[in-house]
This record gives sequence, structure tokens and C-alpha cells, in this order.
Amino acid sequence: MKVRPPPFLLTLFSVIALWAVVTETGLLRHRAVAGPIDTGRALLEGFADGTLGADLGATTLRVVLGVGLGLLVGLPLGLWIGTSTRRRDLLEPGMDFLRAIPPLLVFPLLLLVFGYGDRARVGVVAYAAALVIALYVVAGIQRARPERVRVLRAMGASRWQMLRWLHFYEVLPGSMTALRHAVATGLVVAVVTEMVVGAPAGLGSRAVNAQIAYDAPGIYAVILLTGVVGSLAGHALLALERRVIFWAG
Amino acid sequence: MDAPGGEAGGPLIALDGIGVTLGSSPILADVSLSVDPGERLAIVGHNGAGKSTLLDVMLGLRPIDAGTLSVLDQAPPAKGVGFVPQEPGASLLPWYTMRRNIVLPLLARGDSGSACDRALAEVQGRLDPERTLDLDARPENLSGGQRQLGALMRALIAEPRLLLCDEPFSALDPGARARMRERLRSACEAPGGPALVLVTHDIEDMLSLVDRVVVLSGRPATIAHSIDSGGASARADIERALAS
Repeated sequence: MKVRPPPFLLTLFSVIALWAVVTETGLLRHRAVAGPIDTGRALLEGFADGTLGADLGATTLRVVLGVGLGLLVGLPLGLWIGTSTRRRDLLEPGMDFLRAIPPLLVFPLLLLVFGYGDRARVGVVAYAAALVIALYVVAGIQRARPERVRVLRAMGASRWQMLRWLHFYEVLPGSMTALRHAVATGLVVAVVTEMVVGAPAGLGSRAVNAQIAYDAPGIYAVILLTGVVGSLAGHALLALERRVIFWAG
Repeated sequence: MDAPGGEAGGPLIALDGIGVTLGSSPILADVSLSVDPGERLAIVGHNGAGKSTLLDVMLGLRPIDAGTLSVLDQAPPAKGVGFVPQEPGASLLPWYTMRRNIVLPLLARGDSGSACDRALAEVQGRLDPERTLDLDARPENLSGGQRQLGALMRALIAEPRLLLCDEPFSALDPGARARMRERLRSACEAPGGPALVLVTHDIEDMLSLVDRVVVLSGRPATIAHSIDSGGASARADIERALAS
């Protein structure tokens, strides 16, 4: 039986082959260019001496803590705003305004509040995550099927029962999508905050340090690793979403 | 005032001069209606005539602008009312099994798990003695007729004194429709069965399920005709009223 490889593997090998051809043959020479062999070596050496693992761990921890905190704030906040027309009318314009502001602009403010430490970095990731999650939850409640609302209200369900039996489940698909967006945004925000205010460890500070040392393979290694981690996290959350939210598909 | 709520023969539903406006559009005007214990009533009218709005008023889901109303001697939403909506299948919660969906009215009033189990067995015995409905299935895995049966069981499990149905059979094929009609009729005719208010377009529903048909018409809508559906000329009277 003829076995066909998954299409993404073909794409991956094609890109690496092209990358190897233009760099290893000397077709493209520049100090900002590194080939796949040097990049692979930088990755292996980084993991072997433990520094790349430590940087990856530090960034991942900031993203996990920030998104977790954002979920803890954003989910109840979205439910609180979304379950009341009055609150939604009062607060939604404010949320739209905040959504228009790049989360990274809040970082200097958090530095003033928390000082030059991880609390400010985690805080800005949490702020970005809470905002996107709350917005998705509010939208999810608005999309609740009217017949379901009608039946539960007609049977005299309390507000708490409505929240537990209906709104929580209605907003889950949107919340999972929001979580994927929050993780992707959180990774960007965490890496950038590590770059602009040097963190003791982290993929962002590792990239800046590699740039200062003219270490192009080191920069490529960070870029590749960040892409792989972000992509894996996105796919893992998507798989979880499909498994948990069986009714949405 | 008569003793309301059917305790001493008073009406279960008493609407007097009800008016409802949606935005700036008046939907209902001066609607007066009463439903007695054991009575089965159909509300009919053209699309957009305000039938579902009137049902929502009875359920306490729509505020009124004029008139007075009481349902089971309470200001709606009243306890003791069962409801089957227009799309019963769509109103079932897809994340729960049918068992859980059906007992929700009991859980909403705080009944224990064992009380729910007893009531479920009882309602299943009455409406589905052959056990055709898989209670452990989720709604998405059932046919339209089975979902409909589940929605009817949900509406009747708390033994309501009044059952409100909003075009409950509109999505069913003729065979399933006839079976569901028979189930609904026998549930209402059983001793202690609920009074029925049925919004429908189907003249067979009107002739086989109810005692009286009220026709909503006009803009804003009001009750234009009230027809005894047991009369010899009922079919012709209803068709004439709907055509007028």
C-alpha cells in the first residue's frame, strides 16, 4: 500500500531544503543570514547547556501565568457584563475602546506600578488575555439561542441556574477561541516585554543578547523555537476545544 | 373577584384588555381571554399576528403596556406552567443528556435527585411506555420526533396545571405529528391533566386537540373570533375566520 506523507511535512521539508540551498551554497551571504545546519546546532547547544530550556521555561511561565490570570478575570467579567443588557450597554463601549489600544502600550504604566520585574510582564499578558476573553464571552452570551433562554425562563430557572445550565456552556466555544487568541497574543507580548526591558531569562532577552553578539544562528533558533511552541500550543488548544465542546461542531 | 387559579372553578388564565407594544409598533391591543381548568384552547392567526407574543405574555416573558393578567392566580411568570416552544429540538440543551434535559424543571424548583428519577419514570410511563426515547442520548443523536417527545416530557414532568405550546409540531413529518398529537391529547385528558393553550397553524391540531379556537387578527391584533371546535361546522368556521 502506498503511504502518502501529511501535506504539512512536504511543505516543511520544501522550506528547509530551499533554506539550505540559498544559505549553505553561498547564494545568499549576509551577517543576518544563518543556514539550517548552524541554526540546528544553536538549538542543540542551547538545549545541551540548559540555557535555551531555561529561557523557554521563563517565557512559557509568563504566558501561562498571564493567560491564567486573564482567564480568571476575563471569564467572570464577561459573564457579569454579558448577562445584563444594562451593564452591556454601559460597559461595552469602554471595552471596545480598550480593545483598540495595543496591550503593549499599557506595559510602561505597569512598570511604574510594579517596577522592573516579572509582575509587570505577567500583568500586561494578563491584561491582554482578560480583555480578549471578556469580549468573546460577552459576544457568546448575546448569541445564546432564544428558544433555550425562553424555555429556561419559562420553567422559572433562577439567574444562577441560567448561568450554570445555559450561559456557561453557550460561552465555552467562544472562550476556547478566545483562549487560543490570548495564548498567541500573550506569547507576543511576553517576548516583546522581555526584549524592551531586559529580563534575566526569556526568549525575548535571548534574541536581543544574540543580536548584540552578532549571533544570527542564535536569533534564528529563538525565532524557530517560538514559532514551534506557539503553533503547538494553538493546535493543542484546538484539539482540546474539539474534544470538550462536542456540541459546537 | 372569583377565586382564581382554578381552586374554586375560577379561570387558570385571566387576561383583560392586554396591550403590547414592541418598540413603536403596537402588537396586541385590548386582548381579553380566560382559560378554565381542563379547557383546551387554540390560538390561531396569520404569521406575525402576535400569537407567540401573546403566549410570551402568559409566560411572563414579555412586559405588557396595558391591561391586567393573572396566570394560576399569580402575576407571570407563574409556577405550575409547562411550556413547549416552537422549536422544541432547538430548545433542548445539547451539552446535557435527554435525562438531564427532561428533569430541568424539577431541578429548577429544587427537587432532589431521587424525586427527579421517580418523576422521570412516571412521565416516561405515561408518554413513552415502549421506551422508544433513549434517555442517555444527547439531543443531537436523536430524530426530530424523539427530541420532540423529550421536550413534551420536559414540559409535563413537573405535572403542570397549565400547558402552553407554541407550534410544537411544525417541524415534524405527518406520521410523527400524528403520534405527538395523540400523546399530547392523552396527557391533557388524563385525570389531573393540564389545561392546554396551543398556538398552531394546523387545522387538524385545532379539530382534534382543543375545545375552542380563538383567532387573532388585525394590526395591532385583537381576538376577532372565538369558535367552538366541537361544532359540526367547526372546520368551515375556522377556515372562514382565517380567510377573513
